[in-house]
Amino acid sequence: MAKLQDYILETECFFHGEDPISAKTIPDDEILDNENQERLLQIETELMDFASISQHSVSGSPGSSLEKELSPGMVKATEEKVLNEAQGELIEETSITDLLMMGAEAVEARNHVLSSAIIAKLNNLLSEGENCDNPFHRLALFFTQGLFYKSIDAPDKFQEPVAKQEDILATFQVLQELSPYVKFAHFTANQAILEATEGDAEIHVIDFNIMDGIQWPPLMVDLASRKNVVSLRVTAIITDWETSVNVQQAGRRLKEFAESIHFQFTFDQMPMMTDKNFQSLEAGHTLIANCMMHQLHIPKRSRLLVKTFIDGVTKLSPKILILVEEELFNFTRTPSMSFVEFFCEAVHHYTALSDSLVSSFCKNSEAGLRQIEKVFLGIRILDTLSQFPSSDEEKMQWGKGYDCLREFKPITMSFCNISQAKFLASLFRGGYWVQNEKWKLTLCWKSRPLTTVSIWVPISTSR
Amino acid sequence: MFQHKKPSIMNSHDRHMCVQGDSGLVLTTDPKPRLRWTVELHERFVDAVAQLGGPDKATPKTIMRVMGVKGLTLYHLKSHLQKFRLGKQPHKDFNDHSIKDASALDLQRNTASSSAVISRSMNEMQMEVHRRLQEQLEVQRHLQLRIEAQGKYMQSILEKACQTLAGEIINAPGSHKGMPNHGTPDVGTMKEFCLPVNFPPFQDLNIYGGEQLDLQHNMERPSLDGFMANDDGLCLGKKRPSPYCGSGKSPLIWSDDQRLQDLGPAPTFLGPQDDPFKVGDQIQIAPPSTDLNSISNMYETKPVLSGDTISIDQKKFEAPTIAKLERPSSRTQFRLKG
Repeated sequence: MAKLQDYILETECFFHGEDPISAKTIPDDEILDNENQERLLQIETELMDFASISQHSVSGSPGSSLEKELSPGMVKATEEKVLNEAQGELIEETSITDLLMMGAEAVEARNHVLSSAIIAKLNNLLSEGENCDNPFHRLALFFTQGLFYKSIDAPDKFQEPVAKQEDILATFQVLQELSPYVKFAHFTANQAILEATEGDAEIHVIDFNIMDGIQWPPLMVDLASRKNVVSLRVTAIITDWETSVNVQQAGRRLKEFAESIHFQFTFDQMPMMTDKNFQSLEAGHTLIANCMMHQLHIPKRSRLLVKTFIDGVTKLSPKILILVEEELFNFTRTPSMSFVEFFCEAVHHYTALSDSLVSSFCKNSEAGLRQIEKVFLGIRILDTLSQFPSSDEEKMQWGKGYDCLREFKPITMSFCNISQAKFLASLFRGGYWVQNEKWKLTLCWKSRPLTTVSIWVPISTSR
Repeated sequence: MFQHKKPSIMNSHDRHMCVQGDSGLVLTTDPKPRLRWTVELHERFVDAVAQLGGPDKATPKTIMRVMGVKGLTLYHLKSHLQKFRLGKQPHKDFNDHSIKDASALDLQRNTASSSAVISRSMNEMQMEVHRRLQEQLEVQRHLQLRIEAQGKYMQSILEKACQTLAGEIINAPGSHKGMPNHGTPDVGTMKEFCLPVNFPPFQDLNIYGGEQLDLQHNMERPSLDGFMANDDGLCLGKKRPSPYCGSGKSPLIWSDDQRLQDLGPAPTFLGPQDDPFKVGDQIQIAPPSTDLNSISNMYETKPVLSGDTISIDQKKFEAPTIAKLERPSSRTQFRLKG
C-alpha cells in the first residue's frame, strides 16, 4: 500500500508540473536514444514555433530546458499577442491535439520512451496556469492523464477519486437542468414505458443505474393521471456497497415523492452478482428493464455487469428493454477499432460534449461548467480510456456489441416520443438536435451524435 | 346534408356559394349557375354508378333515380357521367383518340381532381395537420409536466440535504469522533449529506474542507487573495486542487463574499487521510467550526436551479435563467410560450 502511495505521489507530482524533471523522473536526455531524441527535438521545435505566436506565454519556471528555450519566444509572444490571438489559440489547440494523437500512437505501439516524453510535454503545456481558461485544454489534460495510465498499463490501479456526495448531487443538478442529456434519456425512456404499458395496472421496473432516481417522478406523475389505477414498483440494481447507500436514499426520496402525489409506489433493491439473482424476482407482471449507461454522471460499469443485467432480465421476458448509451461506445459501427482510433473518437466525443455544455451554459456559469468537469467529465474520460480492451479477445467481445441482445429486437420510436425529444432539444440553447434513425433516437450536438436511446422487445413475444 | 361536415372548408373556398336549403345542392351564384360537384355529391354519384354496374351501363336517368337527389337534372348528370367515363379509362381512350381525348382527359382530370380529389386530399391534409398540431401541443404539455415533476423531486432532495447539513453542523462540534474517518456506521448519514445547489456556499465551504485524494496536504488556505483572485492556476496546475477552487467571482454567488470570508480559514478537522484509497474516507463534510449564522444565511438563498425556474421564452433556454439566479427571491414560473 505504501508503495502504491509513493507511486501515485510521483504521478501526482508529475501531473502538476511542479517539477516535471524531479529527482524521481529520469531526464529526457538519458533515456532517449538518437532516433527518439531527434523526434523529440522535432516536437520541441514545433512547439517553440507555436509558442512564439501563442497568447499563452509559458511562464518561466526553473529546471526545465524546454521552458528555457521558449523564453525568447515569450518576448515575441507579448508583442504579437493581440494580432495572433485567435490564430495562436487554434494552432496551439491543433498542436495539443497532434500531441495527443502522437501520444496515443506511442502508447499503442508500447513505445514507452516516446509516450512518456510526449506525456511530459503535454503536461508542461497544459499545466500552465493560463491555459486553464480554455476548456479544451482542461479536457486535454484529462486525456493526457488517461494516456499515462494506459501507458503504464495500470487502469485498475487508478482509483476513482470519489467526490463528495453533496457535490455530486449539486453538480448533477446543474448538468440535468442546463443540458438536455439527462432529460432526453429519461423522458424518452418514460414515454416508451407509458406507451408499452397502456392499460396495465401493475408496472415493475428494474433499473440498472438508478443514481438519484430522478427518472421516476415524472413517470409517477404520468401514471397517476391515468384513468385506471396504476401502481409502480421500482427495483434498483446494486453492484457494490457504495451504490447501496445511495440507492437506499434514492428509494426513500422516491417513496416520499410518491406519497406526496398519492401514488402507489414500492421500492426495493437487488444486489446483482450473477444473473441467477434475477430468479428471485417474480415474473408475470409487466416488467420493464431500464438500462442507462455511460452518461456523464453515471459511474463506470463493466461490460460484464451490463451483460449480466441483460441476461438476467431476458429470462424474465420484460415487456421492453430500454437502452441508453453513448455513441462513443457503439462498437457495432467499427468493430475493429484500434486504440488510436478509439482515442480519436473519444477526443471528438468529449470535446463535443464539453462544447455543448459550454454553449448551453451561458458565460456566467463557468463555475458550473468547471464543476461538471471536475466531478464528472474528468473521471469519465479516464474511465473510458481505461476501459478500452487491451487483449485481442476483449477486443473481439467489444466488436460484437451487446451479444446478449440477441434475444431482442428493436422497435421504432413513436411519433410522440420523437417530437418530444425534438421539442426538448429546441429548449436548450445551442446546436442540439435529434436524429431519428431507424430504431435509434440520438441526441446530437452539431455534427456529433452523442446519446442514443433504443427500445428493445423480446423476439419471442411479438407485439 | 353534405354541408354540415365541413362548413369551414366550404366557407373558405367558395365565397360565391349559396346553399339551396331544400334540395341541399350547392349552386354557384356566378352569372351562369352551375352545379358544383362536391366530394360528397361525387361520392354518391360514384356509388350510384357502381350500383348500376359501371359507368358504361349507367345512364343519367337511372343514376338520377338511384341517387335520389332533388334538384339534380339530367343535364348535370349527363355531362358528369361523360367526364367520368372518360376519366375512368384514360389509357384506352388516349390510345385511340389521342389529341381529342387529351383535352377531355384534362377536363376530366381537372373536374375530378379539382372538385373531388383535391378537396378530399386537402381535407385530409388539414385533418392530418390539425391532428399533428394537437399531438404536438399534448407532447409539449406533457413535457412541461414532466420537467416540473423532476424539478420538484430535485428540490425535495436538496431541501432534505439542507436540513441534514444544518443538523450536522449543529451537532458537529461535539462529534469529532463521529466523523467517519474510518468507521462505516456513520457513512449512511454522511451519504445523506447533500449540500444545496447554491453554488457558492458549498464551493467555498469545501475550500476549507479536506481534499479527497489530496496527497499533498498543503491545502490552500482560503485567504482573501486566494478567494477573490480567480486563480484557476490552482485548479489543474501546480497543486492538487481543492476540487472547488472555484472563483470567488462565480456569478452564482448570491451571498455576499464578505460572509464567506467571515468563515475564516478553517483547517479540515478531519485531518490528513491515513489511506486515501479507502473509499469510505472520501466522505467529508465542511468543518463545523464555521460560523453557523453565516451558513444559515447562505441557505436562505433558495436553490434556484429547480424546474420551476425554467422559463421558456420562445422555446429557447436562454441566459435569463442564469440571470434570474442572481435574484434569489424571484422564482419564475414555468411557462410555455407558443
